[in-house]
Amino acid sequence: MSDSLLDLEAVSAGYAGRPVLREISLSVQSGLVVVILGPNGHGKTTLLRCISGLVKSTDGVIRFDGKTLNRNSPEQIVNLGIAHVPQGDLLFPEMSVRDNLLMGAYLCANAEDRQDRLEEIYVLLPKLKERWEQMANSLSGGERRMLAIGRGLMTQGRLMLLDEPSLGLAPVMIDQIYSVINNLKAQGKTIVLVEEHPKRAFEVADFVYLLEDGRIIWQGKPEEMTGRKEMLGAYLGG
Amino acid sequence: MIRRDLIIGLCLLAVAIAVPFLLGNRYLITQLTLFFIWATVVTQWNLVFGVAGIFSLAQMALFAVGAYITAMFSLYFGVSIWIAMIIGAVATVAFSLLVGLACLRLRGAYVALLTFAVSQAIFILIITDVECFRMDGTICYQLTGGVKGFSGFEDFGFREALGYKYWPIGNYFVALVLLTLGMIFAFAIIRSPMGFAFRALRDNEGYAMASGVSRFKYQLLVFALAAFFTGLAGGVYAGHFKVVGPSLFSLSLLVYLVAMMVVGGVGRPWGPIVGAALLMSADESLREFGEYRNIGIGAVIVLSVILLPDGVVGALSKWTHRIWPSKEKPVPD
Amino acid sequence: MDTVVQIVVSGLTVGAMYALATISLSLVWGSLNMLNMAQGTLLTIGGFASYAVSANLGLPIFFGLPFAMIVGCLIGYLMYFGFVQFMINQPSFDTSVIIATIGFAIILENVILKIWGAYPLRQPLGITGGFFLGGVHIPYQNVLIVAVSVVGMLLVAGFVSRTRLGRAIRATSQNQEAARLMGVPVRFIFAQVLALAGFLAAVSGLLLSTITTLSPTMGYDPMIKAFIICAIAGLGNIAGALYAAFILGVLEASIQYLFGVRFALPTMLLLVIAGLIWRPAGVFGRRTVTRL
Repeated sequence: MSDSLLDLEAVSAGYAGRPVLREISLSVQSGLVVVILGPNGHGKTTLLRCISGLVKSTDGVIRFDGKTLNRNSPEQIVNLGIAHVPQGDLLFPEMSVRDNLLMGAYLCANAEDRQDRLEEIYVLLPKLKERWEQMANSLSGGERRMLAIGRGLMTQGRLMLLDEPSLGLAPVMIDQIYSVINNLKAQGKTIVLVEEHPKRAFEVADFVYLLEDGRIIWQGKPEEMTGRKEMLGAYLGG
Repeated sequence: MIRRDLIIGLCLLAVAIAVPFLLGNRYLITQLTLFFIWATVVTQWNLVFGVAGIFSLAQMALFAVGAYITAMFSLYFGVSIWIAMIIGAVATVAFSLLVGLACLRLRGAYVALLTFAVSQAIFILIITDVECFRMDGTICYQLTGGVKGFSGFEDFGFREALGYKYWPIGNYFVALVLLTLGMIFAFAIIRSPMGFAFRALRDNEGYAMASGVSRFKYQLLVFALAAFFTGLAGGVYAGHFKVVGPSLFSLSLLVYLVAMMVVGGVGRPWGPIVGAALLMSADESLREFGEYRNIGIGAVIVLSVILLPDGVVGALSKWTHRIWPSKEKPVPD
Repeated sequence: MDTVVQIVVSGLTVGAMYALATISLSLVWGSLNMLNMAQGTLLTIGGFASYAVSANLGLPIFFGLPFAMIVGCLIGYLMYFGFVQFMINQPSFDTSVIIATIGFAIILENVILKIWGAYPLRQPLGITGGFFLGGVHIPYQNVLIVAVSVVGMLLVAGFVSRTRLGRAIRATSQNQEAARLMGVPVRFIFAQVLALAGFLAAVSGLLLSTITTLSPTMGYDPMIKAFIICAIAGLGNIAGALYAAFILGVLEASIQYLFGVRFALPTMLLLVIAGLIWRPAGVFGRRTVTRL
């Protein structure tokens, strides 16, 4: 496990005494796309929030790039190189597309560097460039998702956490989002992807974890999973 | 819960009744009279603010309205002060309904902001009242008394009835009755289904609204009823001190009473009594530091809010639950 | 016609002063969800800080403005580090902080009272003389006030829309969690917002004191007017607050002329209350959907 970028060892977490994650252990190797699947409400989002520091773990160790993360605040964790694109986008509604993107580069102190990063994102996501002046809350669902991902990319974090990128989108938009994700994968980005319905996620996955009731009940390569019909039934329904 | 409140209440009442006969100290009696009046106001404020969740900063204005109306009816219409007090209380209710209808549908901060503005608006109208409503020789009296304030009206009549030595005791018991009635009302609301509904609203607004609880109606009702006792307290104040003035609107008085509520414990039924007692005792003992009094009270408020968010009663309650964990679920007492 | 010009001139002047105080209030509300009841005292301290420059420190009067700005910032920081930072995580923050700011206001007011006394003082910073527009005499002081206010507003607008810190302030007020995920040190932002609010309030108070007199309680009336303007515009709506400030300034001047000074506040209040019954989110405000 020495070249894994992210390591979780027996991590537990919960809200107000109610346990959500129970002794999760997983690792993410650099340059891979790791997909976390599982039914809704079983802890996938909490897992990502734990990694990015929005939720404090009650037990276990989280290691990123060799450093232990447990007590750090989200601000510090972003600084270390983890970008979290949260469920529901959490955009800044009354700020323009450009300002939302620039916020992604908040930790970059140099205005020119920020501008450079912005140009890169505009190349990757040309629709955002078109709408650069528009208020975030006037964008369509698919555009918002693009903006959220673009904003996350602006942080230039080494690890990207994507929480349900296909949530609430029409199939056409999902195609576009996943083509972007494929693009990122081709660039060698390390991604932890959470999805409820796995069909598209399988196409990009290098490794899969199955999360049920707060526990990892299965892990392996996506090919291995398609070989097991029982699990297939429950999870390929969407 | 209700039985315990009743026992505490009766004990305190018994003590209060006994005090003037056991400790005939005149100063103590007049201070306690004032304590009863303030405790009444703070009890109603606590009900409105801490229980019903209305961020009202107009309570002192309501108190003042009660005081002024009482004084004015007594002086201008020659009405007996006992009746004037009731009129004052009713007028206060009417006024509170106006303010409530306007503000209570809005979110918390707007209520605070508007009630404060209403308070200030009345204050300005009174102190800028310069036209002479009546002349007494060469002295000009304004309709509302203006900056000078309002005096010359009747009091409760205990001077004639009980004589020079004992008349403060008469006022003392009037104030005590006021406080008792006010507290019975407050407890009746807090321990009732309505009180429970308010707590539910505070903890989760969406859920309560979905289950059909109309926040606005309940709040308006409590606001108006509490205004009755607040206005009545103003009337008692007028009858006791025989003078009312714009100082009733002052920020330092508002801050003094807010401190009582906060130190006692916002939302705690016995908080106001504890808070009023503590603040008035502190005020007494720090009398020599007169100049720093207001600074001290301000500091007390800031520190209380940071260190004792549930007030003294809240802190004591947490302690006792640790020593004697009760079988019942810890309902915010 | 002359009276109309007169009313418009005083209305715009007063509106300009209210505008700065209102932006201060709106900024704090939008970013921290905090109704700053110490606003009035911040205004007052701005006026007294400027006075102190010449009266107590013996420096040239012209240092009054920068000194007031610095003092305003410092008091803003004092508020954050003194009590706001300890209360931020309390569940009842938005109620408790109102009470805490009331306590802070009374402390500050009494400190001012102790140092300078209750007797009204005259603000030395200002210019005399004026010019004639048609038949109306327009004092240079009024022009200066509007000019300083407008410059102040433009600077704040530029700061908030173009700088990294300004963007972070906007972002924090619109979605705090997302801001944290961008690495924004949210507590630091809160401190900056309070410092900025103190700065604006102090300047506003200084300008106000050049037209009225300097006294420990001079801030309450403008604070109430700022409250009313914010209520009309919708708390947190800075652009709307600006329009409302000028409209209300002219409205107040008109009412004062027609009915007398004492009826200005009560009338405005009645209008606002009527307006809020009609549109509970504020006349220019937007309905916010509270996510449960």
